[in-house]
Amino acid sequence: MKILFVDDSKTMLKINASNVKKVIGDFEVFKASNGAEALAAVKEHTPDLIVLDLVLPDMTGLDILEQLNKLGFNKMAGFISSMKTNENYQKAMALGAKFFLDKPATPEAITKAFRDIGVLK
Amino acid sequence: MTPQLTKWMSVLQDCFRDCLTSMSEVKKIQPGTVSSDPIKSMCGPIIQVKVGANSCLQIGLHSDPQTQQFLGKLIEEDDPDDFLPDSDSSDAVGEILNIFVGQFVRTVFIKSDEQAVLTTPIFIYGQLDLPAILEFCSQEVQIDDHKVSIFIGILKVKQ
Repeated sequence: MKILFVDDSKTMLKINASNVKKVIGDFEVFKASNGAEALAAVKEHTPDLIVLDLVLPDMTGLDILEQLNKLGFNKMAGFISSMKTNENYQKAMALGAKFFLDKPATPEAITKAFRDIGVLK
Repeated sequence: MTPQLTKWMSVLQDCFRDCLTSMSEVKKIQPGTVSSDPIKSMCGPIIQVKVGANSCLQIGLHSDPQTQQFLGKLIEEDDPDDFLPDSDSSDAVGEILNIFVGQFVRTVFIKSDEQAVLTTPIFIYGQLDLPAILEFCSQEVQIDDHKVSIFIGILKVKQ
């Protein structure tokens, strides 16, 4: 499985990847720290799942998902963000996000989300 | 100090404790002194929270550089004897602030009609000048042998 993590914080990229690893074991990790890098990484690596932060330096995670939808991206995407408001949640779900977790996303929260979307049996 | 600011500081402290305990093995977090004197010299990240059109808060986490290192290594699960580059420790401490301020906003403004918008964390090392400050509160917190100050300022917004 290939997972792309998008966050402008190196710390959160490391923590999120580490917590996902605790849940699903080995997988291929790709990282991007802004929207442009994320869009390029999707094109280059075609990940099975994208884990997005909401606030990024050049565009929001919602903008990235919207652009990916326009490009015909049909894999799974979800959010891990400290800004899980009703409004952001509704927008993310309308764009096809499969989960929206609060930061820090613990292995327990990731397990539940991944079970719900079928990544984890 | 107004009751509202006292309450907000209490919520901030709870959010900070929740954030650290969920991200690390830290056990001992104790509150210290409270002050209404603005912090003049700063080492740490700040975030601004704009609430609606007329209100702006500034929330930060101030400590000495050694404590920033300690916090960075704590949440990155690094060996305490390793050296964490300053860019990594400031990124880590900025993320701690981002997480607990996000939780604070969800707790305090969830029923508010006004939308609260956070900036990304900015790391400040040096003088902190807050000329437009209306009210200020800082709370010292001891984590093991290290001390950090959580602070919140209510800023005057230009109408």
